[in-house]
Amino acid sequence: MPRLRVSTGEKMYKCAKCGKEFSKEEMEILPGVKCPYCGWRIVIKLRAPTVKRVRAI
Amino acid sequence: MRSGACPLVVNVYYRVRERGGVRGVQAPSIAIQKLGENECSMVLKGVTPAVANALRRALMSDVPTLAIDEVVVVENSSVLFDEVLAHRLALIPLKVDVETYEALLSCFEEGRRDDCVASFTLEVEADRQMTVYSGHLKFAGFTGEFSSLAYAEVKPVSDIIPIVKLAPGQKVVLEAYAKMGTGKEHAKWQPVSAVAYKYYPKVTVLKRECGEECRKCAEVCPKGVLRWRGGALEVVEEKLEECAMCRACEEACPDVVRVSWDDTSFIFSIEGLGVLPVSKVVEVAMRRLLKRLDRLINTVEASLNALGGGRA
Repeated sequence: MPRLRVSTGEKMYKCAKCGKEFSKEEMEILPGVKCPYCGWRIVIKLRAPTVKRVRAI
Repeated sequence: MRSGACPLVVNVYYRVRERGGVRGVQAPSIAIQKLGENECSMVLKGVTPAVANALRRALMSDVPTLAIDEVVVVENSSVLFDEVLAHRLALIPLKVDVETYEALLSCFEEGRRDDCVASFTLEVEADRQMTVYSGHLKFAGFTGEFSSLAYAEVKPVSDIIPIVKLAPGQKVVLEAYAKMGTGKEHAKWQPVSAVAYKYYPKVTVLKRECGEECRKCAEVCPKGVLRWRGGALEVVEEKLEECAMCRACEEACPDVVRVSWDDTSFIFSIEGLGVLPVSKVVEVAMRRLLKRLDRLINTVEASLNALGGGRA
């Protein structure tokens, strides 16, 4: 049974060359970790758009 | 020099005496020699080394202070991780006035630590390379029951403590919450940077008239405690407390000078961080030490009564 994949549409990644932002699903169009626009293999993971609570220790 | 018996120390003495006392122990007293906003030097007399060490430990780790304990990071594009940033914020000493401190202390001692929270905001975006300093932190007031303390202000002891360096375009936006805590939980809650004590030195000149050869006893002393004048060796009383007990004089003139110490007197040297006046830190440390002693005495008495059916 195929696994159900829910796309959040969240742009989690950014290409280090062309600067375009894309989601995990968009990146998986091409095999391996690559920019779906220019094929560059250096991809930056962006900070999640939520606040983060940390203990100051 | 201000001298006299400290009421709190005397209180300990009388409580011990009421319960049978300690033979040969004189009434404890404190003579304050130097008292500034951030430093204090005093002589504690008539106590055992255990009491002196208990006071040192209480000063370091049992005086509650305010420090940043929780950080809500909204944005952080700096090179530091959120956790590292939070850790650096936590180590910034926060200055609080004595009146507000008393209110915060009673709140903490009642176990309502999360009700007495001071909040700060930090919002900096770099248009050129810059350093974010503690002065960028803005006090946003107290939360909970302390929100009525509108006049009170909490701010960092110094405005030039570096937090993070930013490159052009990088941004830090966060909220920080400061809570009360003690040094035994985390060093960020320590109100003093250094507390040290040494025994009160006793330097005795055994042979005053010992001629020219005694000149070297005085010359080797790095603190100038000994003076050779008119063919005689003497102790400079006003420098005696500076004696490091290095025994260089004893080595130079073995039969002429004797260095020892008084193990019931201690010279304390306290260096504060600026969060509270040092006198207040000492007062709170003693108050908390007394409370713990009371608790110990009561527990021991209760246990003995339970064991011996009240005869113990």
